[in-house]
Amino acid sequence: MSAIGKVSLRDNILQRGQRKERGKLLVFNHAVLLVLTAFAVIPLLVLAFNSLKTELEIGQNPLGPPTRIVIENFPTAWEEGDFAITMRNSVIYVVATIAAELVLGGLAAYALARKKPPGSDLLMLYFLIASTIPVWMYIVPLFVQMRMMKMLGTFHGLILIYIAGNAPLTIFLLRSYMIDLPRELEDAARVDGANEFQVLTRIVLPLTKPGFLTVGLVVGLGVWNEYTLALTFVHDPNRFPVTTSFAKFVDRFDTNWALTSAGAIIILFPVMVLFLALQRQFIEGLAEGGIKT
Amino acid sequence: MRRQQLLPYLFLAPALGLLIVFNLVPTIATLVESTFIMSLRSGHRVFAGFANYERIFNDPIFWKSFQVTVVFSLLVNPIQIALALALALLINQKLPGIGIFRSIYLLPIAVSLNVTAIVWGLMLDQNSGMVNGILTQLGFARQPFLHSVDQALWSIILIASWIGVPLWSLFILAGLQNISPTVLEAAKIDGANAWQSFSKITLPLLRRVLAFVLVADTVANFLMFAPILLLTQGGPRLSTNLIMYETYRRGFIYGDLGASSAMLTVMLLIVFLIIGLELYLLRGAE
Repeated sequence: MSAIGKVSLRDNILQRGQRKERGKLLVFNHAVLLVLTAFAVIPLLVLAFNSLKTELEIGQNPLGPPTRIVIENFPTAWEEGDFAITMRNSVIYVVATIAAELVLGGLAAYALARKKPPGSDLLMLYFLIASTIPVWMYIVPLFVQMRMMKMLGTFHGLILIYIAGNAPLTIFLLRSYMIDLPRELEDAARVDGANEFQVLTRIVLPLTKPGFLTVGLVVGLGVWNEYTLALTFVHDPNRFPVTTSFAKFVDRFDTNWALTSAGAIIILFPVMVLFLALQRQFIEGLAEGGIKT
Repeated sequence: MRRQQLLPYLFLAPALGLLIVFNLVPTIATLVESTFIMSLRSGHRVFAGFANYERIFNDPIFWKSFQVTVVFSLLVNPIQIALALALALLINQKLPGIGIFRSIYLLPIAVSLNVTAIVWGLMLDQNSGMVNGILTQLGFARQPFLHSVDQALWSIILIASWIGVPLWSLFILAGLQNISPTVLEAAKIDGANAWQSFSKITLPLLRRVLAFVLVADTVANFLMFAPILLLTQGGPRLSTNLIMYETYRRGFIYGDLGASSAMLTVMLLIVFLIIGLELYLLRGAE
């Protein structure tokens, strides 16, 4: 009792002296935060403003909010960008990649985190290296290879490339997440007669859920925003993802800024909503497992 | 018992199989390609040993792009990591309204590099760009930004940092949240000031995360490509001709796959060196 009293008294003395300084610090912190927030948000605001202006107004007023709000850019961009088709395709690419990635990556991560078969260290080194190899390093031979395997221009061909490309990072994150789980639970389940598959599906997977969520977000975001591989391996407009819709407005010699902005907002909107909604779990997922090795 | 030993490999097989087919094999093919050259006489590819490497090492444009990449790396990595650390420390505080700040702040991470480059290209435009609008309002002269030999690389640094700073601060923030608040409180009670508890407690505990961020950021910036392709195409006067863009230009615009593959191989070796640094730094942290 007296010890607690002493600490709080000491705290009080400390706080009284620090309060004034702390007030100044608060103002300073908020000022810095405001500047940094402006840096983060202004480009997005410009995009949002311009998506609501006519092309003519953007010419006269490229910076500020629209004097008259025009929403026609959105239906026009949606039509001209074939978003009805590309949105559907991107959802297919994203969902299929995430689903397969989590299953394959989860299995591999579990093997590396818990079983540590001979050669694990070498495999980890390979995954580390593979995670840094840029697409340009292998895109030409891969094109030849895809043609030989008759996978050029198919949904599953591109999805397999995405799964492979994202596998190293997925395995890394999930492995470090699983390594931290208490082993006792798994051992208890084994004693109770669970087989290896049951241990994985009933014990490890439910406990690793936040890790899977984080990895799912990272992979999904990457696939949603991916452009180079899609453009190289898909040639049928019926199979193009959303990033090609955006490129359509930009690639022309004279860029229509109103449509470009509306197109960008259409692409950004779903990911932003998802990202904001899951942000807390996302950071926690990274904090709890992702960043350890 | 035998099954027990095979099981982990069975679990690893699907992911590893896909990586081998869609990643490792074509990467090795590029390494092999770097030793071939297109023969002008026969029109066929012929084995050429290190001829492609000799060609690029004697090529001033390659060295110029190498130099630009080194300068870019030496500028962009410290800037991004310092700002990311500052940002993470700021949004880790329990300030009123911090949740909103944190959300807004991390928004750029969700934006693709292509969209980012396009929007910043618009904002940095010499005549109608927003940044010049603000500068003239404040009484400064208009700046050419992406059209100037002196400013183009800085403009690319700015654009790369718009995503880079929040992205890496996210990892540092995650690391900060792993630090137990009782440790910092104990230091406070013992009379440590803000700087002391930062330099003596926070920073050492962040060492692992910072080592990871340092290397991942360095690799990501070493491979910077999309803003160059979309905004400057390496110009003006090769001032933004980063090495990743140079390999693309060589291979895909000029069709010289041999030289392009040799450059990619050199880049891969440099990436290996950076990873070696990571392993070394992480070993020191343990």
